[in-house]
Order: sequence, then structure tokens, then C-alpha cells
Amino acid sequence: MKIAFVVQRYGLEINGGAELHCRWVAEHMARHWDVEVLTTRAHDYVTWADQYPAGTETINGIAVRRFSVPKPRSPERFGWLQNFILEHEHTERDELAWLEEEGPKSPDLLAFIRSHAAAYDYFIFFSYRYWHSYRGIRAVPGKAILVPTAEHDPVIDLKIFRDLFRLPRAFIYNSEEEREMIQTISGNQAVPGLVVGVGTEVPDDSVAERFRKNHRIEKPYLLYLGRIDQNKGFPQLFQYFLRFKKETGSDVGLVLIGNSILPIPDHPDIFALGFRPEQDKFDALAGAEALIMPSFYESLSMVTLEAWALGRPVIANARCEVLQGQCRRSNGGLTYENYPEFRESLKLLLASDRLRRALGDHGRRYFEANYTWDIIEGKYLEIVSRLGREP
Amino acid sequence: MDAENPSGRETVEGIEIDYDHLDVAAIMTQVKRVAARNPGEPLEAGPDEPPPPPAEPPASPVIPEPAPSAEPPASPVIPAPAGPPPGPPAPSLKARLKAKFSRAIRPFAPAIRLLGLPLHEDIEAAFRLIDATNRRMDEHEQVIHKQIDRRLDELQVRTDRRFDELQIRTDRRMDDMQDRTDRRMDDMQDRIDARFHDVVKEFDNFRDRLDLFADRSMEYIKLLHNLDHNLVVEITKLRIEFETLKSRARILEKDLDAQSQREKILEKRLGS
Repeated sequence: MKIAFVVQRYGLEINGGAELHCRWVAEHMARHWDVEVLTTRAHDYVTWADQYPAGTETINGIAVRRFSVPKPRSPERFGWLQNFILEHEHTERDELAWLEEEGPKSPDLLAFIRSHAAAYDYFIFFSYRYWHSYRGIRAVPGKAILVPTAEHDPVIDLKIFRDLFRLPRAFIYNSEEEREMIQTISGNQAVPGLVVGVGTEVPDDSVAERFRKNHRIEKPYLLYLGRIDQNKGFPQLFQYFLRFKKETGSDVGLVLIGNSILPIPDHPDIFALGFRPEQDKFDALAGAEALIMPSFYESLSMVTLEAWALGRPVIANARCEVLQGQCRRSNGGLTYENYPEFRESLKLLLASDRLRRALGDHGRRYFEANYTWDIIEGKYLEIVSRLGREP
Repeated sequence: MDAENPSGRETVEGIEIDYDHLDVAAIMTQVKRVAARNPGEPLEAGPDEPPPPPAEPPASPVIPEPAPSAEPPASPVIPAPAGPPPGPPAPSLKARLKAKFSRAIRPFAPAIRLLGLPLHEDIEAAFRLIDATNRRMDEHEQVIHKQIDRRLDELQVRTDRRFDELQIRTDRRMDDMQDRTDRRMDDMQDRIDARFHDVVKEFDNFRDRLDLFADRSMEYIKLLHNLDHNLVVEITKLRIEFETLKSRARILEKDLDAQSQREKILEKRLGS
């Protein structure tokens, strides 16, 4: 069986959520299928400008075909269009104009999909909101499987996407909440779909002491992994954390691993370490009292799964339905909607080592039952085999 | 940890945890209850906290309003004149002069206060306070708007979902009612059939007989029609024949007259 993975960017250096998700799945499914990746030459997700060489290359054993994006995205025009369609009455034509600007617009990629449709059994498209998915799915709807990686952001309500969600042959969702959201918006219950997500692998040799020693952190700490920006709930987390310390006198620290686009408060208990290697990240996770996830929008939080894989509890923003749903289903973490709940949840978590262990154990069991690669690969094989059986 | 017992239950920070059946939803319900009991102060940057992010208002200490009766701080201001001291002892000359002087300069007291007091600091502090308050209000307004929008969106989605569910339930109910009604109608029809079977049978026989009679009548009518037709034809033919015979009789009569005349003529000729 020959399968094409179609994604906006692809490469070892690219760590964006959907792109990394696609690469991991493609590499694992290459054990079962003849896998190819169809993508652009872009590295920068702001402009989609061509950076990688054109043509075919092999990355970790996967053939990757790259196509040009002739017209890079103009952030100013895109920002203007996005504001317009989100804040004003508009037509479907305006939405399509927004999509053209959203990109990555690669006519060569689309032409290749059209002309080689017969050569592939299925095309698995990643990320619903980009040009390649919208046009690609319309070119080969009977062979299209969509991994929407959708969050609860406003563009999902655009009319063009409501129609798009009824087109593919099947869906692979990241979470129950994502499926419910898309089905509510588009009424596409008739389109087959499976909640799969993505697997992850954690190293066996994660050592908390190594991290503490390297960074001279002695006190118990909460860990945040990921980009530090407004969408991830950050000014709020700083406020909540500092207020919690002031009110309770707790000595807990906050370790931040990831690039920041916000000013970080200068406080002796906030450790902003910037971007760190994977080993350091897992060492930090092994030593954390809990992983904290303040984000408002998540399609599937990989770091949450990694924390559970290591048996660490999570404290998450309940405003993010996906995180709240995962915490409830797994019994692997507590949530908060406002500061008083943040304070009480954190006090509870820090006060009981037994609770932390119990939440971590439940999280690990949830991870092992749903997110190991054997299970993920099995689900991908199942949906493709189901499509093969259906007319 | 407040308490722990071997049955797998633990009470921490006033929250009971059942480790045998760990349920985050149940824990969060208790957390929400505890949080609601102790909501705390609204978020505000304090002077000891680090500088907040740019969207935040600048940290500013709260400056208390001076009480109207409070003594002004040490400053070159001239205090407002007190009234004459009640009762004896009588004021000294110095005190009386001081009081007169104070009364004399009372109209200039605001100007003196303005020049003497560090009012600019008060004004600056007040402006800082107002500015900080405005910023906080703007930020809270934005947050509230966002929350309202988000809640409205969620409400819309929930309402749509409820409407859909209601529609589905209504359709299902209608289908059930339709099925039940159909079944009741069928039952009623069966009972009517059973009750009026003989009557219906008699009616059926009568109807058959009527049908037979009607059929026969129709045949008779057809025959009568044919008979009528034939009679008309025959009568017409007889009439024609009658007319023909009449014509032949007239001809024969004429022939007879002619023969009679001829006979007379011949007899005359023979006689002559």
C-alpha cells in the first residue's frame, strides 16, 4: 500500500506541533506501508519562503518530495485579511482570499497530487487550516484522510472549513474534544473517523539529579515545556504563580524550558532556561513535582503525554477543553479555571506526595493504553483497512 | 497531609481523596468548592512584586486619602485658626495677637497652603493612581469582553447542540407516536372487522346480488336497445315497401285505365 503524507513543512529541524506529529507518524508507519511525504520547500512558517532544495530527498528513510511556494506570505496582508474576516461580515470569496494568503500556496504540489492520484492509495493531509489541505482534499476527496490538528481558534468557524470537513474519506482526530468540536461545527458524523493522537517515546535514563546539578536547582519545582507566549497562557501563569507564592509562602519554583517572546519576571524562583536538548528536557520532567500546562488552545499536548509517560502529574488550564478532557479521562492531573482554583489545586498537589504519585500512575496507565506507538500504528492500520473494506 | 488511613482514603487541605477509585472530576468538584469559599482578593500588582508584563498596569502603591481633620504633615503651612478657647483662663496678649494675625491672613490661606505644601507630589501620586486604575480597568474590560465572547460562543454551541438533540428527540417521539397510532388504527380495524363480519358478509352477498342484477339489467337494456333498433329498421323497410307497393298499385291502376281505354277503342274499331 502506498501512502502520501501531505504537510506544510517537513524536516528534522522543524519542531512545530503538526509537522513533528506528521514526521513521527510517517516514520513509524513506514514499517507497514510504502510512505512518501509531499511538502513544500518552506522552513519559515511566517512567510513559507523556499529554503530547502527542490526535488526529492530522503529523511530517516522516508522519501520527501518538496515543491516550491512561488509567492511568500505577506504577514501584513495576512494579518489585515484575518482581522477582516474575523471581525466583519464577509463572503465566502473573502475567506478564500484569506486562505490564499494563509498558504503555503504551492500550485506544483497540487498539480502533483492531481496527476499522481492513481499512484497512491491514500493521501493523509495534516492541518486543516492551510492551503495545501484545502486544495489537496478537494483534488482527491475519495483518497483523502485528514488529520485536522484543530484547536478552538476562531478560524475554524469559517464556512469554507465547514464544507471541507464533509469532504475527506476519513478523519484521524487527536482527541475526543477535537472530534466533538468538528462534528458540531460541520455535522460530519457520517464521515468515518477515529481518535488516534500521536505516540511518543521517552528515554529510560532520565535522571532528575543530573538536571538539578546542571542548573543548580535544589528546591521542588513545577515545569513548563514549550513556547512562552500569550496564547500559551503566560502572563496569567506568572501572575498566578507569584501570587500563590506570596499568599502561601510556598518555596516551589517554576522552571521554564522553551523560547520566550514575552518578558519573564525577574524572580529568584522562576528559572527560565530557554531552549534545551531533549535529554535535559526529560531529566527536568523526571524531577518535577508536576508539569504545568497553562495553554488555552491545544489540539493534543505532546508534553502532557510525555509527562504521563514518565509518571508525572499535570496541572492544566481547564479553559482548554482538550487538556481538561484528557485530565478527566486519565485521572492524571488537576485543572484550574481561575486563580482560586489554581491556588487550591496547586496546594493540594504540593501537599500530598501520595496524590502526585497516584495521578502520575494513572497518567502513565492512560498513556500506555492509548499513546504507545504500537497502539497508534494499529489505529492507523485499522482506519485504512476499514476504508478498504467499505465501498 | 492532614490525615491518612489505611483504607486508601486521604484528606488533604480539606479535600477527601479516594485512592482506590481515584476520580479527578470528584477531586475538582471539591477543589472548586474550597476555592469558592476562599476567593481571595482580585488580581493586582503589589509593590513587592516584579514588574508585570507590558499589558499590565505599572505597580503603584495605594496612596491613602488624607482625612479632613487630620493634622497636615510637618511643613511651613500656617495652621487654620482655632476658635477662641472656651472659658478662662483669659488668653495672653501674645495669643490674642496670634489669633488676630491668623484671622487677618485667613483669606490668603489657600495660596499659602499651595506654596507651602508639597501638593505636586500629591497630584502626581493621584495621577499615578488614576493612571494605574485606568490601565487595570482597561485590562479587566478586555478580559471580561474576551470571557463574554468565549462564553457566548460556548453558549451558542451548547444551544445549537441542545436544539439538535431536541430535534432528534422530537423526531423520535413523533415516529413513536406515528407507529403507535398506526398500530391502534390496525387494531381498531381488526376489531371492527370481527364485530361486523356477518353484516359485512350479508352486505357483500347483497352487493353481489345487486351486481348480478345490475349486470342482467344491463344485458336486458342492451337487448332492448338492439330490439328497438331492429324494429325501427324493419318498420322503415316496411314503410319503404309500402310506399313502393303504393307506387306500383298506382302504376297498375294507370295501366289498367290505359288498357280499359284501349279496350274501348279496340271494341269501337271492331264494332265499326
